[in-house]
Amino acid sequence: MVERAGVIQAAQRARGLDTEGSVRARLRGIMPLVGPVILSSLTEVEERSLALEVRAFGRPGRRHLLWRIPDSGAQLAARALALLALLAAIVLRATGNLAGLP
Amino acid sequence: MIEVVDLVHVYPGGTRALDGVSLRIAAGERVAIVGQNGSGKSTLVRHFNGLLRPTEGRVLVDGRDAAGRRVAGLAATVGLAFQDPDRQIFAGKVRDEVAFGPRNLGRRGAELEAAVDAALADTGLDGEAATNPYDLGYSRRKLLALASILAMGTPVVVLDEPTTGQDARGVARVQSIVAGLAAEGRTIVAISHDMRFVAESFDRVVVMRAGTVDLDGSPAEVFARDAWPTLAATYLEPPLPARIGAELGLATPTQAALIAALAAGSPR
Amino acid sequence: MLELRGATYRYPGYAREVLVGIDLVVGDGEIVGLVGPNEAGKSTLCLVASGLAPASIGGKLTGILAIDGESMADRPTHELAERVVVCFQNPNTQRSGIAATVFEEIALGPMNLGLPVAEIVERTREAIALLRLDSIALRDPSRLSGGQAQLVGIASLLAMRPGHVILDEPTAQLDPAGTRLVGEALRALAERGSSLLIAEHKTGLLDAVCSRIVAIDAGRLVLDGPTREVFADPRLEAIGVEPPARQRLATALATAGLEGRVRLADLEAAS
Repeated sequence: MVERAGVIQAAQRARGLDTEGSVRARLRGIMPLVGPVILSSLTEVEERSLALEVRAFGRPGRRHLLWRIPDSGAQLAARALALLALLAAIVLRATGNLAGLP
Repeated sequence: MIEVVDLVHVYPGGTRALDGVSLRIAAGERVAIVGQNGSGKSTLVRHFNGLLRPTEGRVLVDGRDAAGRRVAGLAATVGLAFQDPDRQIFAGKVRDEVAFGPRNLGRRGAELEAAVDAALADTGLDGEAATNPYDLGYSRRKLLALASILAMGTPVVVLDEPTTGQDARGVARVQSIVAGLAAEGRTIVAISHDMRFVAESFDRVVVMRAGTVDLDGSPAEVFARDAWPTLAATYLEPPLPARIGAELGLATPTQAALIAALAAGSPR
Repeated sequence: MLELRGATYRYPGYAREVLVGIDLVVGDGEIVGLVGPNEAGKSTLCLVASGLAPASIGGKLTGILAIDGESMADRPTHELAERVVVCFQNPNTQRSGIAATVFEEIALGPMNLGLPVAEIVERTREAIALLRLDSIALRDPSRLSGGQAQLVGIASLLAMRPGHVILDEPTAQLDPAGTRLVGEALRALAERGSSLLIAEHKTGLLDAVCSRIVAIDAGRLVLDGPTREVFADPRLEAIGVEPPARQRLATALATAGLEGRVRLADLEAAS
């Protein structure tokens, strides 16, 4: 919006609108900017909403950009081994066979 | 009329849009500036009325340095129509929109009315004086933006892509406006991608690439075969009559010139 | 295949019809050019053929829009978007405003279609390659020139691999190089079987890519035929449409009685 206002102000200055003079001149210079800033914003909103709809923006359902990375065989085996080791540790601890450790 | 000397412009982001441009445009010339998107064409012309100020180099308008002169003052000499009409149209009525520029330049009363009427007639909008600009289609809003610059009666008129979005009749209208300005002895500078318009309506073509001027000459020179490699580097293609003419050993940038040369019984 | 049968349309709040009784078929793999003077109804026809009018902007449509033989009446816009996409001429309004890079901007459409990520990335990369946008893929989409932004807009639609594409003056902001790139991209799309309808003033581009041209004037279809035939038809100039340079030159040579003097096709090929 600020950028747009800048371009619009440039276009009006090119038509002799004084924005560098006295405070009064500057205040008077605001009016011809308000119309195009608001109007062009409104028409853009309409066009932009159409452009978004074209890109299926209103489609229901979740969307995300997370990759599903499949485990390799080795990773699967390591995962299973870790689980087994944990179970083994619990069993050993419960049966008192790890009692010597802190 | 307008002279730029070793002009360099660097935008706040660091983009070097102009990289040492020197150009002298005499009063009454019709100059087309062509080049790829982003080659610095719009940046260059915005120096002519002080909207942009040189990072290095100088701009002279009417023989005097533009530095230190207000845009509002320079606008009395150089009228600049932007590419997008919707960035300048603000009034509720076509007539008020066109009157804005000349009023800023101090025209009043019958003089103002006459300037507005003439600009509306030239752009074919004379029947739409009381219409809301946004009830006009894009192509006619574009003509309205052009009318609002014409009405200022500036000695120099700069047009950024005046034929964009115009159909055949619209382009013909813009061409007749350019011819009319030339007949009044006013200076016209236009940025355009439309090579046919450029070849037919201008007496000088400036080719820009990456912030510098690559070619500068008449349409016959700029579209001549030995300039093609330079044109190709800017991704521009000469108009068809120039290409066909070159095959026949003729320098004919326009269709009318090609037909005339053939009818006159030139070689082959 | 995209089909309009007896399509008559008026905008909400207007009494006058902007399109009257349009019959138009765009076959699979076909590129049809749409020409007409300003305010003849070209943009409206683009909106109606894409279903956005009336689905999104309201108004009253009589007649039928059918895609692959199915009527599109009363379909929600996101369903339409999976079948047909439309590209407008103003690059500023085609930007989503929510993507940080050109890559993400182009990926947005496929993402909205709910595709798997690998597919989204593949399609995005392909669209970027097709329009030679590699060098700006990581740039902020709001900081592009008008021409670049337009190419990004077109790439965003190509990435959706649409079966039906409608383009309303896609090259108005583009220089000759950009225009040529768009032409190549459209041809690539048609070769994959998409049907395309392009409204354009640049008849040179249409001459290069279209197999058929339809002309409208004051909301009615006035010409429909093979590209060369329509461009050679004197009625085209009568409604204010400029034929391509090659055609104009051929006509001018014939008028001047010089057509025997030059072999236009050979010379054009040579240059």
